Amino acid sequence: MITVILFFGKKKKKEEIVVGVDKDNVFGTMSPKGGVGKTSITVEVAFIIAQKDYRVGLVDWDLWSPRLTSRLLGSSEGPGLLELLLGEAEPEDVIKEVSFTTSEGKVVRVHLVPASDKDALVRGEVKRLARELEEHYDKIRERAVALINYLASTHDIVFNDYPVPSGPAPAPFHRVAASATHWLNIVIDAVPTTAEYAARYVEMFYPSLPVYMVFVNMIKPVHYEYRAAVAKAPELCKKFAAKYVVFVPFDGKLYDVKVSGAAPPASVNYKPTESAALKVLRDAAMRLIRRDKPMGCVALHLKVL
Amino acid sequence: MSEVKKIEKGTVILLILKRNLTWDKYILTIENNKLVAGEPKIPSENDFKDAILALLIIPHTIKKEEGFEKLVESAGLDVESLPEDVKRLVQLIPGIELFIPDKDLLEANVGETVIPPEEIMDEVVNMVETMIKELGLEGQVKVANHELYVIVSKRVPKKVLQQLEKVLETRVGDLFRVKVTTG
Repeated sequence: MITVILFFGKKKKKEEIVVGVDKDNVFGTMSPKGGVGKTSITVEVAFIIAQKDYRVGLVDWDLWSPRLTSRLLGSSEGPGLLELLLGEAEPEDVIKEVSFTTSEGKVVRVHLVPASDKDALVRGEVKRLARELEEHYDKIRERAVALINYLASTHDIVFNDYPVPSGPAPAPFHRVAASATHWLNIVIDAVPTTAEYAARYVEMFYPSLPVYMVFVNMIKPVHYEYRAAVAKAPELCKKFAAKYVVFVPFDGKLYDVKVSGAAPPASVNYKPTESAALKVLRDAAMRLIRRDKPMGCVALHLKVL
Repeated sequence: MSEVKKIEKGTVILLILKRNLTWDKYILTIENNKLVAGEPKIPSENDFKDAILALLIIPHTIKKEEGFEKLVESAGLDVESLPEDVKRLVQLIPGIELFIPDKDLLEANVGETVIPPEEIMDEVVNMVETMIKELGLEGQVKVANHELYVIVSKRVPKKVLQQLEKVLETRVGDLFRVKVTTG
């Protein structure tokens, strides 16, 4: 008699630790919710650095709500990150030059990888990527990392603008995004629960990435509110093991843009001396380009009484 | 906010929603930095009494910047740029929290406050513990003399162990010497 014993069981989960890219000039920016100024901060910092004649690359990872693309290009025709991840475009095909002229006549340039072609969402291409991620995760991650390595080697600094974790982006997409950065920057507002959500999302989606800067944005520029926000610096340093915590006062100039169509960043239109927010962001931008590694953690803020 | 950026002239629309759910509309005219006229009138404090909401819209306003006139198309409201009498009216808008920035704060230089590593370390240990759990690993975290020991289960493959060490090195390597072992 032959006895056949079959073992059924749960397929063992593949053990994977997301390891970011080696080159330390790549920063990914996340925020736990929309509307805290993630894209605005990324754009301003990028253009402050570009004005110092550094080569800056930007990648719009938010395929579902491509704010960075619409902010800098209006709408985008031709392939972008989505098409590259699907294997339909090469890194050289997806990089677009964006330039604005300052009031002094200086042309400031950055390179942008837009989220996708403008009709991709309507054509169901984003859904296709979600399906492809189930089947060909490793291949898609490889393409993403290749793009970032290419940008990192041809630019002085690269910024990835990530979608909000509470949005429609599937978990594997966040893992791919996390593989394509070295550092993580976090943008939150001064509401205490936002920091809690951010910490939770970092644990869920980016547990292995080192945090470089935490931007506390949109702080009411009145003494008692600003001082109270800055007092939270040690707590935020601990929560994220961040190198810097940057306290950005609310400044209408950063959001004084048209609802649709490309618009120049405030850092192109105004000098840092004309805007308190830009003053703080300029300081932060210089630390980012130098990749300073202070002992402990440093809070950057307006000098409060 | 500097003096040169005051709204010089233009039209401001003020909408007030009353308790009986009707809107009162005022078209306010600004000239030479002053509220000069209101259609049907310049609203007074009384007009805000039974208001539950009010909106101030600045559709096309001329700002003067360093001698040049600039058309403002944004709906962004910079309270400081409004003439004093409009600013006073704006403060009466119920349900909207408005603020006037502290000028000396905005003009302050950027400073830095250093939080020494010793103040951060204890919390970072908790963070590393959570991180290991999130990665689906079981292990213990111990700290002694700036060294962070992570002891994980023997069943963890060597490759994963190396990745974990690399990740911890990048994440907290500035604060600790990281040592990952199995036990």
